[in-house]
Amino acid sequence: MISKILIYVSAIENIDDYRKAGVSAFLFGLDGYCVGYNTYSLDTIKKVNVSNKYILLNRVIDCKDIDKLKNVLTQLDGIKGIVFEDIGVYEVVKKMNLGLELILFQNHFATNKDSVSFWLERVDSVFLSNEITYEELKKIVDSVSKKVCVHLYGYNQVMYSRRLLLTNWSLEFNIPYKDKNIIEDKGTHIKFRVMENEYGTVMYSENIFNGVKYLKDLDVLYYYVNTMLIDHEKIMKFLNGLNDSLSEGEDIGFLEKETIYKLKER
Amino acid sequence: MQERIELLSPAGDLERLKIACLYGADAIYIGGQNYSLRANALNFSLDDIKEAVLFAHNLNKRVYVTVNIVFHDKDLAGVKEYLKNLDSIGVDAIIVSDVVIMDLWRKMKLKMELHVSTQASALNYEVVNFYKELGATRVVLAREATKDDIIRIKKETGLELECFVHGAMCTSISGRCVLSNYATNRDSNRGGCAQVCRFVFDALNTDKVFSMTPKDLNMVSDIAEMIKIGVNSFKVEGRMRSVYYIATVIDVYRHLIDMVVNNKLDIAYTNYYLSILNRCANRDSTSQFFNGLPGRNEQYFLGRDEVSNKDFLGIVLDYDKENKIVTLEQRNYFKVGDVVEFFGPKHEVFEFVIPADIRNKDDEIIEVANHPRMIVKFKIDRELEQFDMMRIKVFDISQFL
Repeated sequence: MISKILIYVSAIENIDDYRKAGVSAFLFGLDGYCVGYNTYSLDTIKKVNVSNKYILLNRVIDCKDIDKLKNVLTQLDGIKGIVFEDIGVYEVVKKMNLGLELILFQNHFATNKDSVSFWLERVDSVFLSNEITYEELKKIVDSVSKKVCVHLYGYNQVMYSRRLLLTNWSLEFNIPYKDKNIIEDKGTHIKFRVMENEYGTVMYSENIFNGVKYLKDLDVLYYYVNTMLIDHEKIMKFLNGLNDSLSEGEDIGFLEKETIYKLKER
Repeated sequence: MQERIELLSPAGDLERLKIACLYGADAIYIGGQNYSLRANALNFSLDDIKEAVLFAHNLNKRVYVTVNIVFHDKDLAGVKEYLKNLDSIGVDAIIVSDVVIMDLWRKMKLKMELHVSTQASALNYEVVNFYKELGATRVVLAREATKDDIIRIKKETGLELECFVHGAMCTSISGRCVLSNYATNRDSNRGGCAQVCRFVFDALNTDKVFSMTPKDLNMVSDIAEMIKIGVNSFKVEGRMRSVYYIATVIDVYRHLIDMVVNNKLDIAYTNYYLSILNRCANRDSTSQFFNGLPGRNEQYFLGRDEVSNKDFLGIVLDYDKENKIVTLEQRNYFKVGDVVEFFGPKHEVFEFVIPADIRNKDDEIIEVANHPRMIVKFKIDRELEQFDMMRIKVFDISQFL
């Protein structure tokens, strides 16, 4: 299982520990094209001495930045592939014929086998949504023609806004700006973790998703470990154990809990 | 060839669709009882859709049906049959976000057009070209698109572009929010959004509450610019809004678009229409992303002071031309002597004073109309029609000249 983990590198200095634990695929957020992640310049990413390097582009990209991206994409020597959110990236890479592995990562959209199959005719892999049940997820994994990626561990992204919500809040109340915060709904007492950069605001789930118990035997391309906002020690404990049990502050998300969308049949 | 300029209205049911058509919408978007993002609205059965299409086509208007949920496998049962039915009925387009439906539309060779929903969050020309290659004739751009983005996308794709011009905004990029799933177990991308972004949150290490509710979108001041840069369809949000809201908003944007096209829009009318819309919605509104990134002034922080609007006084059910008697259904309190105004699809707004002789459905003289939906009759010389509306007179164009 450890050999199939794709880990998000939230700090370069942690890479050696990940490697020692057996991880061999690494994801780096590229400056200017990510929200909700610590990011790096292309030069910094290139200097990292590991073989399976992927870059993450998880923004919904405007016209100006899709233009700039075309230049960036010509400089990706040493990069194995791109993990991306905006379909414009697919269009650009297709035309440029760069020979890069393409993995579509639209957080909440890959929820049925036909849509996933549609994309697998065009890209190398697809991240499945983490808001579907284990039954739904397994059905997709078992029925599509290529191996997909699934979330294994980490906080889930639950919201992405182009607005600078923490900046606006700090200006309105004249309180010091802090790019990470935790908010809590008074009614439900649910908490969300808020991150912001100049491209927008992302909220993460209250609990860490841990899908080892359910997902360990799936035939996937990658198990994704999102290290953002999690202590390095906790990540290492997870990587070195990979066991079925949940620690405090962890849950299994929607694997056993189907969401509803009609309050009642009319 | 003249590009299409279309005013696109929402409708949550047949009555609202008729109101939207009559008040000047060129096209109406509706949701069926399945596969649509307003899962808890009444929505349209297939029979309703048939009637809607017939009604709209008779007036030379178009009907679009949203099939815009993000599908789970089990939701796909029956969807092919549904699409076939929509096509047979003569629906003009489906509005779609999931590629599974785009693929089906293509494979089934359906006649109706394919429009890509704002849920797909198209913000650059490359993604719009992707959908164009799939066969889409129109893309509803992400609400985050700026003027510069729209200009560039139009230039690089030549595709019909649809943009929101009025109504509520999501805090997040459309489709990129599952706050509802986590807070309430309701699936926001399948129509169960519980509007968690409207909640007021506590924040760690401070006594200042955290709120992220955006103000509404209102493009009255930029409508001329939007037409100039090539936006084809001007979309009003709100399939769950009232008949009065739809009539008012569609009436205003109809006038605005026509005035721009005929080069007659000036600052006085712009301000007049802005005032009417702001009062109707009872919320603050801004142009949001069109002119740049919205900041603290484009959102609420301590909740909204949203008082229920009592301006809508009644809707005309009938007008007796011979005796010049109007019959209307009351919607809010009014009384003898009140200064009101009528507006409707076939005449300009005019002022009227409620006469001394007003009667209820039993022909008894009354002084006040104070029962919800009571039938009220009185004499009025100006001819009215079914679906004309009576509201409190607040603004007059002379105030803005």
